[in-house]
Amino acid sequence: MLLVKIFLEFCKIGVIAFGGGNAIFPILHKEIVENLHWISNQDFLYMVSIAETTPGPIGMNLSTFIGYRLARFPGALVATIGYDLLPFLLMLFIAIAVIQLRENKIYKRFLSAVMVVVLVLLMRAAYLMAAGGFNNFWPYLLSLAAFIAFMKFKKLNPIYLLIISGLLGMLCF
Amino acid sequence: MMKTKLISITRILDLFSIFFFAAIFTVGGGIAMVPVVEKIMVEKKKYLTEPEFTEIFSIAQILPGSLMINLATFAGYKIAGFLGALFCCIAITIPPLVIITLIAMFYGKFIEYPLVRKLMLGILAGVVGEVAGITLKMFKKTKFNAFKVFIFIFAFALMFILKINPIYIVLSGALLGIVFGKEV
Repeated sequence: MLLVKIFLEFCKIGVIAFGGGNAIFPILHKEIVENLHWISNQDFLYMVSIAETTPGPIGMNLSTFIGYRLARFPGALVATIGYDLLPFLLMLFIAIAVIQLRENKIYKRFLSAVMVVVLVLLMRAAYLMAAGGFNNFWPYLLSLAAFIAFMKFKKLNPIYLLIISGLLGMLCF
Repeated sequence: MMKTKLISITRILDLFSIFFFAAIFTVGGGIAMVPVVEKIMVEKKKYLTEPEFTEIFSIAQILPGSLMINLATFAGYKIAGFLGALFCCIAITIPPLVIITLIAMFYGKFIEYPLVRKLMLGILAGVVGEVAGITLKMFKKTKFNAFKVFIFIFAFALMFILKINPIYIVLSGALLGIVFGKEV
């Protein structure tokens, strides 16, 4: 029964989480800590710090973590699937609709404005990551170097660039 | 018939590996994967054109739910249909599931080693650089007219000066676009 409960709870969190990442902390906190008392406040803060510093989407990391804490691996699995499921179905439906709509005038107008807003969302994401994680001058310098490399070397696989950044961080920070 | 089936299977496997490796190496949440996925899918493999990617990313960004699930579903569907969407989503789900389960099992002990923290911070620094890079790239590709300049300043001011919840900025931007935008 607990597994069903976890699954349904994370289905819900999956769709109300707008903006991904940091946006879901307050929602998760309210649901999991305040309403359901599934984990303590201290554990929650600990999870957030881990979810932010490990690879993968933050919301998904948190779902896996909380699910594991509640019911071991089966819990982690159903929490993560629950978190993914409704966005997947909704997006699939919209993808099909959008491909039909491509030549629609209203859709084109809508898209022309939204694409510009998304630029600002990207700027905010970079700002939040730097403001939240960088503790001194060196990460900024490394970011600048990565930025230049990303722009300059078109053929460079961005994953290699991240691995190099990580190794430099280990050596220099 | 056999041949097209084979092509679509290799294509799905290829998509799977792109999203799988992107999910392993990107610290900092879903948006960190965007520059990686864009560079590989648009510039290297040419699965999508630049405007197609920008469109998919924009739609994925403004819908509820995890950005990467949205992006993987849309891109996967567009390139290889339903199975493409499904396998892209599975690909980005496995790495966090495995990594976080391991961390939860050992109560995150190894995450606290200074060397591991430095590694993660280094990757995060790389991610910030790449996200800045893709932002600039998309900015340069945008064909700005008076209306788009207005929307940019409007959204920027609401976001960074008035610090309004992004969902309202997206909604008001979309509405302004429908009413005053041009079909370009």
